[in-house]
Formats: sequence, structure tokens, C-alpha cells
Amino acid sequence: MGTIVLIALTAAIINNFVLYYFLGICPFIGVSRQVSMAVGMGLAVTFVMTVSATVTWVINNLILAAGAPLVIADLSFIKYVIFIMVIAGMVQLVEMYVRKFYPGLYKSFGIFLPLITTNCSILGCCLLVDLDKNGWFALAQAGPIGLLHTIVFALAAGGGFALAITLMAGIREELDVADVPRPLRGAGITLLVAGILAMAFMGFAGMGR
Amino acid sequence: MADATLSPLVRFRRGFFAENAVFVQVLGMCPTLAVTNSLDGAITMGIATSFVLLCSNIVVSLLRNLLQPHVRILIFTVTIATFVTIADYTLKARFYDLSVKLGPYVPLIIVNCLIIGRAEVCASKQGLPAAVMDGLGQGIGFTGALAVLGTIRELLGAGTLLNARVLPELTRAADGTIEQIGWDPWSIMIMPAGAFITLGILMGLANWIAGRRKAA
Amino acid sequence: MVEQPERKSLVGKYLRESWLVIACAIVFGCALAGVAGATRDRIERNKQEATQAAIREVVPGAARGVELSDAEPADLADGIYRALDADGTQVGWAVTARGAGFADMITVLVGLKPDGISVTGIAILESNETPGLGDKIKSGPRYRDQFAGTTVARPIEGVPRTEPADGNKIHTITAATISSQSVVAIINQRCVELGPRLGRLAEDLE
Repeated sequence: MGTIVLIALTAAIINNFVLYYFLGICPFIGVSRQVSMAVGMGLAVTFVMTVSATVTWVINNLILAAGAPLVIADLSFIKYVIFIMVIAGMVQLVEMYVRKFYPGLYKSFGIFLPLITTNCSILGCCLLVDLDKNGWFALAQAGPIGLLHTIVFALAAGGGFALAITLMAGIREELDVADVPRPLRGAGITLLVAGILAMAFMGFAGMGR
Repeated sequence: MADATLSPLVRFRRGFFAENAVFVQVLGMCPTLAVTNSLDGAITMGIATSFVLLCSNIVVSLLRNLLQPHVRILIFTVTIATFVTIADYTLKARFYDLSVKLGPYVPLIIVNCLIIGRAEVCASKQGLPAAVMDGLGQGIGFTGALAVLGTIRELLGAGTLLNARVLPELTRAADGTIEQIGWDPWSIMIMPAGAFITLGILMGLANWIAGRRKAA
Repeated sequence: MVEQPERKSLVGKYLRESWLVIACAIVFGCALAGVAGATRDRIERNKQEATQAAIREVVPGAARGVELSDAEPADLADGIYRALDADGTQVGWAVTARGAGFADMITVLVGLKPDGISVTGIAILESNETPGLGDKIKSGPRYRDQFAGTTVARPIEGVPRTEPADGNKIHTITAATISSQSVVAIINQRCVELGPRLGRLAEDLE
């Protein structure tokens, strides 16, 4: 139980995907203009991230890795191709689902929904699970509970991402009416504010102990 | 950008400043911020990305007449993922320490908006020479931007450049008095916050320079 | 009868649209398999080399390290290396120890004499501490050099620089106390109990 809390805390706040790992910066700078859109995007990303991480964990540990239960040879060289195709497929599914059942939401998302495929944070989540620096996720080291750990990690990471872009959107709503020097308008000031946010989040370092 | 009529040479040069991937197009932010805390990491990432960009542009340009609308993006993605895997394995075999340093950011080249962007905008519509020059130009521009960022961050954040000490190290004795005068590193530079701030300032600078040029 | 031609054209339509994807998949798959096969051994060697270099660093006189295989008791076999010199005689032990640091986990490689008790040196294999502060456990040799000559017969102690570091004590890094203490705690936790067992094992293996 302690491990699960640690994983969740680490993914969401201590090693926040946006402010520590620099994943998902493009939508961070681009999308986060309104709080409502930011929340929506955060939820969509969280969902896709969790599903993708789970599916890629299953494929990676049961088929691709060396010595995996269902494998005939070490197929880990197609790992990245499979990862990105799973993610693209998941995004397509989400897109079709939202289009069918929530057409209004679909319209307001516009181009950003298919763009989630190129969101570094989703592929980054799958890669971090695969890299598994702490031995939490891989089947070989953690056993089947690695899957539970992966789901928790992805959920928390998505939540952290949503938190970061919502914070950013809130700040940017204020920035839009502030008097920003011309060269810094747009990406410049966003990055500077992100830097200050990152500094704030640095305060969480060491919480893992 | 009226790309269709640009000659390959013009495309090549535009990649450096006018259409610089990082400062103008604001693409490929993730690696730009992540790996530029050291100059060698920055240059390696730049070269790896350029390699993938070039190869992907070549393949996409060669296949451009066969692309069906539904599977375009899929072909782009698979092509890019393949070349990234090749780059990753090459790095692991030849430059293992750098590969460990860059960590998960090498496979993240797959979702670098720059590469898919160029495939979409240029390579899928232009012939081979244009695609090659565009890829090279953008790659050099991207690597250059990363190198600038990497130099600033490593120099100010650690006093070293390419892991060799450039600024003398400030050392203190046990009671806090200065033993050797030198640069007290701004550790924030090597950390995420420093990345954001440095890039933000550089963006502002780039925009300001561009603004002056337009006015002139 | 009307269904048949419709179904055929549907399959045909799918094939027409996706033949390129399938062709690409096959070509790229073969290319990747080729690259992976060509580089596999090199990569494996690179992974080992990092640890081997560290073993040579922490045990003076060692040429290479051989990991304890599962012939020995199971709980010993994880990350313990016999440090051998060029002739194959054991000149020491190299033990990996892992634990929580300040920011993330730290992996330490402890070099011990064959008796398993005297420390010959330490190396930080993996750490993610605050750059410029906790990171000094890895970047500055001064901290690590202190461990040579300590013993794990009893726990090592970390003391601030204002106190003398006699006995089995080492100085912690100013402004990086937690990282410094973490390394000490990691070493103690792993080696204090393990040391005498390794010493006896070395005698048995001679």
C-alpha cells in the first residue's frame, strides 16, 4: 500500500510530468488558455495515458521482452513502433467515442484531440514504465502487481499533467489582460511563468522519503 | 508560408533563423528543455533528431505519390518510429554514456512535433531535393538552438562545457571562508525551472531581434 | 448473391488503402531486426562495462568482477561481485546497495577487502540528487574518498564538518546532509550484516 501511495505522489507532484520531466509541453504552451479547456484536455490525456500504459505494459511484458511468457524471440526492437501505434489507436478510439456520444465536446476540442497522439507525455509515460528505474513496473522485477503499479502511475501522472495545465491556464487568463512586453508575448512569458511554477514544485522534492 | 515555390537552397537557409524550429515555430519543446542541461547531451539530441528528420523526409518524399489520405499519418508515424529505434540502438552501441544521459528522451523523438510537422508540410508534397534540404536546414537550426541553450545552462549551472571545467570552481573551507575564487554555479540552471526560464528569455530575445529586423 | 461482390470490394478496398502500410511494416521490421541483431552484443557489453569500471575503481588491484551465481545462498546472489585480479585471485568484494536518497533512489557500489569488513572505496552507480548540492556525492571525489579505510564491522556514522571525523565517521557534505546521510545509511543497511558472511565465503572459495 505504501508503495502505491509513493508511486502516485511521485508521478503526480514530486516528478510532475510537465514541470519535472518536460513532457507535454506543446499543449502546455498552446492549449492552456482557458481553464475549462485545460481541464477537459487534462481528463482526455489522463484517460488515454492510463489505457495506453496498461496496454503497452501487457504487450511489452508478455510478448516483447526477452524471456517473456508468450515470446519466441527477443522482439524488443519493435517496442517503440508498437508503443506509438497503440497510442495512435487509443486516440482514434477516444476520438470516435467522443464524436459519437458527446458531439458538442468534440467540436470544442477541434484539432487538439487527434493531436494528443503527439503529446510527449503519453509516450513518455509508457517509456518511463518501460525504463522502470525503481523496479516498480516490470514483470520480471515486480511480478503481476507491476500492472497495478502501472495503472496507478499513469492515473497519477495524468492527474499531475491536468493539474499543471489547469494552473497554467488560470495564470494565463490573468496574463492575457496584463501588460506583457511585446517580445515576450505568447511563448516567452508562458515559459517564464512555467519556470516559476517549476520552482514552486521543487519544494516537493524529498517528499518521497 | 508559400512553401511550394521555394527552391531547395532557400529552404535550407530558412531552417536556421527564419523558420527556426525552436524559436520561431515553437516545436520540439520537450527535448529542448529536457536534455539541454549539458552541452554534449544537447548536441547529441540535435544530431539524433536531425538524422531522424532527414531520413523520414527522404522516405516520405519518395512515397509521396502513394500516400492514401487515411493512412498518411500512420505511415509517417511508423517511418519515424523506425528511424528513432535505429538511432537509439546506434547510440546505445557506440555512445553508451550519452545514451544513458539522454534516457527516455531519445525514443521521445518519435513524437517530436517538428518531424511530423515537416513530413506533413514539406516532405509529403515536395520532391527529394527539397525534402532533403528542408530536413538538413531544420535539423541544423534545431541543433543550433539546442546548442545555444545547452551552452548557457551548462556554463552557468556547472561552470563546465562539454564536461571540461571552463570556469574555475569556487571552493569553501569547512568554516565557510573562500578557499579558491571562482564561479559559484547557479544550480537552478541545470534544473527544470532554469530550463523554462532560460528558454523564455531566449524566446523573448529572438522575438525582439526579429522585430528589429522587420522594422529595419 | 448481391453480398458477395460487395464483400470482395470491401476487402479489396482495405487492401488498396493499406498495402503500403503492410509493405512498410515488413520492410521496416526487417531493417530493425537487422540493426538490433548487429548491435545487440555491443550494447550488452556496454551495460556490463559500466559496472565493471566501477568495480575496478572501488577495489584497488581488481581487473574484473564476477557476479555471484546462484550456486551460493539465494539472498546473497543479488548484486554481489567477487573482485578478481588479472590472475583470477580474489582481491576483494564489490557489493551493490540500493536505498532511498533525498530526491530518488541511490545505488552505491561498495568495495570491500576479502574479509568483507574493511571498505576500500565506494562509487555511486545511480543517483538523481539535486544538482550542485546532493549531486556532490557523485561529482566530488572528496566525499567518496572518505569511505576508504572505514569498516562495516559496526555502522559508519556521518557527522557535520564542524566535528572531527575520527573512528568510523565521515563528514557529510554541507547543505547536502540528507543525501550524504542516505549514502551512509544505504551502506550500513547492506554491509554491516553482510560483511562477515562475505568474509567467511571468501575463505571457503579460496
